[in-house]
Formats: sequence, structure tokens, C-alpha cells
Amino acid sequence: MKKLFVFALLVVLILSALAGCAPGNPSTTPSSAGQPTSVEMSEGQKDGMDMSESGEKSPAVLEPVMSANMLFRVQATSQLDPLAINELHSWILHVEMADGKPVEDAVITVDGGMPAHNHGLPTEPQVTEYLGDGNYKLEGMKFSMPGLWEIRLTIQSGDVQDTVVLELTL
Amino acid sequence: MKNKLLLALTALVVLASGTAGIWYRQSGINAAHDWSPEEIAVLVSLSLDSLPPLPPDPSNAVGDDPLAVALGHRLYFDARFSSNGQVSCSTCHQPDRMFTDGLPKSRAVGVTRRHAPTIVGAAYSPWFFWDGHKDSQWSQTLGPLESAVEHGSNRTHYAHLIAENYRTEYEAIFGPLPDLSDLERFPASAGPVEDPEARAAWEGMAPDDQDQVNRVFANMGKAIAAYERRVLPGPSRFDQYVAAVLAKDRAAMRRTFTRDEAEGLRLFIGEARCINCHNGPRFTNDSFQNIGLPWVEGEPIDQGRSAAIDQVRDDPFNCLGPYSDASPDDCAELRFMKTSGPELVGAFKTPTLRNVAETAPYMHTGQFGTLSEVLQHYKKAPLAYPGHSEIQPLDNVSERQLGQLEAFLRTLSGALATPEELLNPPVE
Repeated sequence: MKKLFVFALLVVLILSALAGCAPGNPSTTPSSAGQPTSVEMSEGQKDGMDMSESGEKSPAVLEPVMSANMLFRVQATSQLDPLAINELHSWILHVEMADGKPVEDAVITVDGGMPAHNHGLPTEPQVTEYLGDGNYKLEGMKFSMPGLWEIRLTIQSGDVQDTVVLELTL
Repeated sequence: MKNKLLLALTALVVLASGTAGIWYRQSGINAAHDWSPEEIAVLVSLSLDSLPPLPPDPSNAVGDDPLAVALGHRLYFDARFSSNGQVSCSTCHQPDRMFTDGLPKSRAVGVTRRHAPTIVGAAYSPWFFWDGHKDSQWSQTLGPLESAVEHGSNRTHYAHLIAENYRTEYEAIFGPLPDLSDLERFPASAGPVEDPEARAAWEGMAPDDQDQVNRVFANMGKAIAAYERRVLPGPSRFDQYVAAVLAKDRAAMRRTFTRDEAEGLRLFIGEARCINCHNGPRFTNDSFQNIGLPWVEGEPIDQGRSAAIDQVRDDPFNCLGPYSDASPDDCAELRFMKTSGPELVGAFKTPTLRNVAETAPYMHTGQFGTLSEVLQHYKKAPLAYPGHSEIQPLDNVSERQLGQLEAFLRTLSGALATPEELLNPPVE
């Protein structure tokens, strides 16, 4: 009987000891090792995990977007697939009228940036070539940070002009 | 009776282990090494295994030629290529200091305006110098060679030195050297430099003769860059940790990283937002940011990137220039370079963080002596002068967490992936 008691006590002791020492702390940072650890930190971690902001990453083929005054529809396709940060690459912009007719004579200027960081694009992308069938080659695209980016296109065709905002998350 | 006691004991044991388990989890000891699939993807993106093999530099046709590496290795350590015979590239970019010099501002022929950055892995970058006023590594090398406070001499002097000391090696790579023996046409000292005599001599030269000297000068740069392309980062403890995470080997994870280092990594990719700019396997986006660094009274105001745009665009040694081996299609970084915008004012290139613990002091004029000072700066995020700072205060990051970030940064050191003989002066 007494033995059983001692055995149980031993089990309890061993278990607590294990819990206390198991996670070997290789301790190369003596200054911070051994300080009380906080529960609040693990909560902080959750808040901190905000790498892609909305979580979902944009595919290389973006959803078609209508321009602000519904004049044009633009579909962008990245030639870098999957889209990634820090790589200079080109896009193909397909521009059509609201009725689906390709726009052959668009003059497109590009601007954009990261709304959350208050900075523009890290490069000055330009449309360099008309590829036919409403397709335009946009060179010099680059994204230098993970997060939400906006690409603002100003499209002029004949005497009409409209703007399109494409959003993507990296 | 006996059964009851057993039951009670079992209950006690279960309770005790439960309590121990809760304590264990609450202590964070275990959680520090827990990573979500999204976090693991980020860790992999930072790992050296994600660094692709160094792509060729289209503007430097000899960038991967072993003969050019050998010549560049010799030129890198040759102090004759300076005005006082005492300064080589290795004076400020010392192999045993991870190719830096440990000084806020370098001392060569004079004192430089900015801090000497490491050249480890720099070959991957599209921009060189703190403000990116050069767009290739070979073109970069030409700047210090003619800076009055660095090597302090000029291109015609260097072309003569090549003809006298490296003719065979040079011609094996680049073909015949021009005949520079006529000192009327090719003065001993001439170049578009600060020194008025050398500048006047340069301006007196025929454009064709200038072109011939420029070509020798550019080729020197290409050989030095071929050497520097071999200076690459090697695996660090962080990379071992990522391997352990991928292998789901918790014992190896705990062996490789302390809890603080793991928490520091978590902050780095999360709440402290370091990864916004220090991303990818070299921990840099190779872009330009204003982070509100303190202006030191009495120092000239440094406009950073905004003042470098015209320089690199007008540089005859840029990617689109006559001495580049690239086709215009290969020069997209220069062709689509951001040329204006308020965010270029006072912006400097994001430095790599590989080996960061070995490369103090920090920032473009060595403003901070320690990593701890750097982290304090990021916590406070003071206003910029000039321009506007992009960083925001880390109000929710405690002092203790700054310590964890520093502990993590110290795991990024590792021996270079460079052959030993290239880390020492060449054996003559």
C-alpha cells in the first residue's frame, strides 16, 4: 500500500520534472534565456501573422475589371507565373469595350502602389508593344513587398478616357 | 479499498500530467517551434535553398570566365591601383570581415561619404551603392577606382598599369590591348576625375583615345566583378533551422534554435514587419526605402536614391551604354527604373541581413554601432529628414521582443560559399 503511494508520487514528480526540462534550451543567448515566458506572446503571434494581409494570393491571371465609367474592360495576365515579389516581369493587358469589342488604339499609362504603405510602384512600367486583338505588352512590372498592391491604368482610346484599378495581393 | 486508492492515484496522475501539460504549453517553450503552413512557406522563402544559382550578368560577357575570375582576384588585392599605392578593393571590403571594414565611414586615400556595404551576394542585386547609382557590379567597381577619397587615381593610369603588369592575362580574356605607349595621346594620368590636372589631361585627349581607355577600364571592372560574383553567402544556423522545420524534426529544431531565436523569427516575419523589405533568401528586396535615419549635424544632407537617378541614367558604363555586353532587352531594370516620386528622397537600398551580426556598424553612414541600436530605431521610427519615413513605430513590440529579434538576427551568420583561395590575396 505504502509502496503504491510512493510509486504514484514518483510518477507525478517525474512528469513535472519532464515538463520543466524537456524543451532543451540550447541557450546561446544567456541574456534572455530563463526569463519568465509570457502567454501574451503567443497571442501576439496570432496578431503578428499578417504576412499576406488578406491571406489569399492573387493568381497570375487576374479577374477582368471594368473601368470607373464602365467604358472598358481590362484583363491582366502576368507573364511571371506564379506572381512573386522582387522579380521584374511583363504583363499582357487585354482591353475591350464594354460590349466585348477589342480596343485597338489604346494609349495606356500605368501608376500604382501600396495603399497601406503609402508608396508607389518600385518601377515605372510601360506599355511597349501592341500585340493585336486588344492585347498590350506591359513591361517593367515589379513588386517589392508582400501585401496588397494597386495598379492604376489610365486608358485613352480616341477621345474617350477612363481609369481602371487592378488589385492584387502578394 | 485497494481499487479505490488506485483510482484516486490514477486521477492524481492524470491531473498532474494535465497541469504539467498546460504549464508546458503556456510557457511558450513548445509553441515557439510551432509553425503554420503559411509561416513555413515564408521560412522557406527566406532559406538559402531558395536562392537560385547566380544568373549570368548579360552586361558582362566574362562574368563567369575562370580567367577573368583569376585576373579579377589579383586586381582586387592589388594596391598599385591607387594614387598612393596603398589602397585596393580589399582595403574597405575585407574578406575576414564579411567584405566590410568595421568602420562607420571607410578610410582609404581619404574618408568616404558613406559606409562600405558588404559585397557578399551583391551580384544578385540589380543596383549597387547605397543609392543604386550603378546598375551592374562591373560598373560599380569603376566608381571607387576614380573617387578622390577611395583609390584616388584615374582610368588612364590604370590602363597603363594593366599594360605593364597584366598584359598577358588581360589579352587572354579581352584580346589585344590598345597601344598606349604614346604618352602624348595617352597621358600617364588622365580621367574625368576631381583632380584638375588629370581632368584637363583627359579633356585634351581625342574621343577615340578616350574610348580605348574606357574600354580597358570597363574590362578591368568586368574582371573584378567576375571575382566578386564568387563571393556568395553560405548556409547559416537559420537555414539549418528551416531544414529541421521542413523535416518536422522537433528535436533538431530545439537543438538549432533557442526559444528566443524562434520567437525572434516569428516577430521578424510577423508583428515587427521586417520581412516587408528584408525578404527573399538574401533578406533584401533590393529596393530603396526611407527609414527616417538620423541626420548627423554638420554632415551634408544626403538625398539618397533621388539624387542617383540621373547619375545611373547618364552613366556611359550603364547597361545600355557602349561598354555593356547586354542587348537593350536585358536592361529592363534600367529602362523601367523609377525616376521620380517623393519616396525616392532620402531612400537607401535595403541591405542584405545575411551575416548582419558580423558587419557592424549599420546604415549608410554607419549611424548605429550595434544591432540593438538598429532595433531601437525601428521601434521608435522617428520622422525622416530629408523626405518621409516609410516605417511605423513598433508600439506593440516589447524590449524583450527586441532582444528576441536580435537573437534571431544573430543566427544569420555562416561561412561564405566561396573557395578559400579566393578569400585570400592570390599567391604570386
